[in-house]
Amino acid sequence: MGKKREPVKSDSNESPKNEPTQDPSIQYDTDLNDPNLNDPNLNDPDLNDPDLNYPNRNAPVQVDVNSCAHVAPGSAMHVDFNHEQIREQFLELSQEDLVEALVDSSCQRDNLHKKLLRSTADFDNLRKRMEKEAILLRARASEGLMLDLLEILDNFDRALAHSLTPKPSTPSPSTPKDSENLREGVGKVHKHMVDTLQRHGLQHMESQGKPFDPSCHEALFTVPIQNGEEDMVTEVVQKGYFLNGTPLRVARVGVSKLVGIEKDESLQNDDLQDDGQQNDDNTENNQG
Amino acid sequence: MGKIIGIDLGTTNSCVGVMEGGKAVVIPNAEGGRTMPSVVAFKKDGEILVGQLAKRQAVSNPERTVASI
Repeated sequence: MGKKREPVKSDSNESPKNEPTQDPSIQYDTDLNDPNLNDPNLNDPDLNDPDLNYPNRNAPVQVDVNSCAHVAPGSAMHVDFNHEQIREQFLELSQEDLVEALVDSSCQRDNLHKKLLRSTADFDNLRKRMEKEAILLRARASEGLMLDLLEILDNFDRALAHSLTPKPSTPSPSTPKDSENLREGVGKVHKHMVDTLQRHGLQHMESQGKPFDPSCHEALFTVPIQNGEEDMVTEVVQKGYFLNGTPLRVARVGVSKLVGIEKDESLQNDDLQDDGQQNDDNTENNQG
Repeated sequence: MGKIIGIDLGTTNSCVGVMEGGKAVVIPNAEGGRTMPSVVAFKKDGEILVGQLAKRQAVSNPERTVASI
């Protein structure tokens, strides 16, 4: 171990050298002669933050006997050693035994260091593997649903093929009877699709006539109304759906808005609101 | 020592990340999104909305919605 360094002491009677001095003719923003200016503890707000496990900058750094790493107290890597006990142990040993102990400690340190590197590499590999697996999982997650939907796709193909093929026994496809048959067929396929999706957890979101809820609806436009309730869904442009209870797709809707009423009282009292009418009223009162 | 958080408070969208194992990892929000709109709204009942929820009701509540600051 090297010679212990003594802390540098300053003589308070001597004038400090190389410190900036203030020119009285110049107006400074900061008082350079302020003794508290260079105190890091005073200027660091984080130091007093109880939520941060902030190590005291001025605390002496303790040397870990088993490794050469300097570990500051309060940090995550710090381990409590009873330095006094260990020091007393070593003081009793002869030089040869000390060398032996040092060699053992060095070997132990090297082994632990290698283990640490291996663990870090393992962790890194594990993380990369998990990322790859997550990507694969996401890509194949909809496999089951797709297989069921393929059956519905097949039915659409059959319906289209049937509508295009001319039948000698029936009149032209544009007769009302054929349109009705086509409509009925498409309706059945639609029901089949809805049932399949419901089996996989999909549920239609009932929005028409319900109060507007930003967690389930997205307002595309407002619908002016003379009377009735405000902020109600009056028109559904695109349906919304839940998947296993959580919104999969929000409904895109039109929202009712009352017209021809006085502004909301809460808006008039709002400091952030730039209400031109209110400012005009205040101006009139001041002038009156 | 506490975690190191990085916040990108953008004009249109915001993003938050945390240092984990020496790498920055983006934190997804409750809806699973890795970014969120930089929008804040104040409902009439006093409730404060942020992000996607605030953006969805911007058209129906424009006087109380703040965006693109």
